[in-house]
Amino acid sequence: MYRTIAQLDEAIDSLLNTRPDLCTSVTLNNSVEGRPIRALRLRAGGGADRRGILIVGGMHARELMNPDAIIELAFDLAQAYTSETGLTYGGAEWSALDIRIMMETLDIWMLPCANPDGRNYVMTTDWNWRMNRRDNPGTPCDGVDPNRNCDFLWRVIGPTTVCNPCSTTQGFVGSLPFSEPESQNIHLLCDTHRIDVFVDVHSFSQFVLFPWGHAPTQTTQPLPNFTNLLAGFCRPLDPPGHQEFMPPSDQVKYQTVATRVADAIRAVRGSSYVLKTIFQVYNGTTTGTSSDYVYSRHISNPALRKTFAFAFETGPNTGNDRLSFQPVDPEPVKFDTKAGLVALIQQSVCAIEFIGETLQARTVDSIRTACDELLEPSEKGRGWIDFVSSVQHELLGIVLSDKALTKRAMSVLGLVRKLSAARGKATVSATDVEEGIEFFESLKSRATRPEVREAISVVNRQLKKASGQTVDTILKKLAKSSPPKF
Amino acid sequence: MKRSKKAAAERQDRSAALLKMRFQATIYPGRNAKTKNWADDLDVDRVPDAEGGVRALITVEDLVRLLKRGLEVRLYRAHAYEPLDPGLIATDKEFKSWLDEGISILKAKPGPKPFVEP
Repeated sequence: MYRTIAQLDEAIDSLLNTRPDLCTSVTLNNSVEGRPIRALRLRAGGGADRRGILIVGGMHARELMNPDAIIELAFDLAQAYTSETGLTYGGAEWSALDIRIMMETLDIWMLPCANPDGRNYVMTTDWNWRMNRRDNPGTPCDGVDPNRNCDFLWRVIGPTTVCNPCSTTQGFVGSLPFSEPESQNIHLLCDTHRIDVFVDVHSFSQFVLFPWGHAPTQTTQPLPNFTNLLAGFCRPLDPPGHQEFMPPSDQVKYQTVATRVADAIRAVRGSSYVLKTIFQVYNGTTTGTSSDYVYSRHISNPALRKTFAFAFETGPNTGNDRLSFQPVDPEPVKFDTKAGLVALIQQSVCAIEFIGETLQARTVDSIRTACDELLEPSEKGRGWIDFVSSVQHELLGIVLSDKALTKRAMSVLGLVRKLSAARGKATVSATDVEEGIEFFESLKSRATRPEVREAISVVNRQLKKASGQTVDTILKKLAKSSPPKF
Repeated sequence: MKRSKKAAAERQDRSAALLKMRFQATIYPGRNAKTKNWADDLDVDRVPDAEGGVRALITVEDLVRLLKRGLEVRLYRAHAYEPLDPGLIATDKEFKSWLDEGISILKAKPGPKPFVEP
């Protein structure tokens, strides 16, 4: 069953009224036809400047399942948090502590229905409508595709990106970049709130997507990049054959996170989601999309924070396009989608940032810079970052469950911060090593998964070798040695 | 005379409905395709295809245009121009029941004491 716009609005109101301690909202630009559009924020506990994830659904009107899935996810997370039960979708499970960490370390933003006019039109007039309901002046044709209207190589045309409002493509780019309130709301949220991870949920074909959409992605030649390409002329990508650069560390991160998302979806009931770049979906240029826009912001303007942006294409190709967009029973697909989203939310948590910045209100930039400069450039170094990230959720859970351990974690992190700030000069002392090893041994005795206990042993073996060395030397050595594989 | 007017009106309605129908199609380059980018400017409502095929929901006018370009088009299914089946929309009663259950769970417990107080 699919909910009407009025029902989705009522669900948001009820959530806000029942648990104002967990759910707040921001009012965004009204739709073209004047319908209110709101984004929800879920968070529990305190702490300023948290990492944020923004989940968007319903940008394309006919893809009806996703707004329902996202609003249900808001309820599921709030319920799992308050009742301390954890969350289960088929075979995919998250413990009460997992949910607590997500809710207490992140700001989880949701824009469940980005294009309410379009959804209403699908329910009242045309099941196949994809765009918003813009009346295009001087033409008998309505609608702009909000996911081709973002300010990223706008009006560079391709198989699903067109300049003719009367094209049956349903990919009209609009009269100006961000001419549509439905797309403006994406950049409004990114401009006004901290968004580290973004996902735009679409249907169908079972894909987990990431940039780029306008060209194939390559990781070797930083220039020329999209900022050097001509846009705005209703012409195909110029030069043809351009391949867009993505730093290797970003590509690894996209692959790693998307793989974990696909794994979580598979755990629900066996659905197989394939990882692709947006370009690969149509094997052609797609521009003005929200995901490429959101990821490109930090490149167009280096003063802006980097946001890792994904897109999902939920649900299988059933052989009947109408039923693929709007299955008679959408529940199984919604379970898959919700599991993928929870996995993405979980991947957005950063233990070091939470302890350092939220709990201690001090920057962890020195640690980040040391890792960026010394670990990220090499494949082995990135492997070590991935190794730490694969166990961080459980370790953060252990740390937060015990006040004394939380205090010790802050102390160890303070030490690492100090050593990283003076990383070429200050050396790690024998006492520092001892404090670190004792701390990690305390975590090990509480860890339940054997992989996590083994990971701690690996960390402690490295720590034992650290005495008398600078952080630079330690990280350089790590970058040359293979990380363990579990 | 009256009967023929009515028949003409019905024919017109049927034609209008036909023009608005969408056909599920897979498009192939045919013999005339000169470039590997032949599918970039088809100007049709593409849908993703996991196997990399060129699939689209097309109108009769699209079909004629594509055939005139020398492309091959296979049609699989016809979909009428109509709203979502009202039977697929949640009734207010169904919605209320889902919402009430959700809200009652949210009211039942306050939740844990947060790691960091607001």
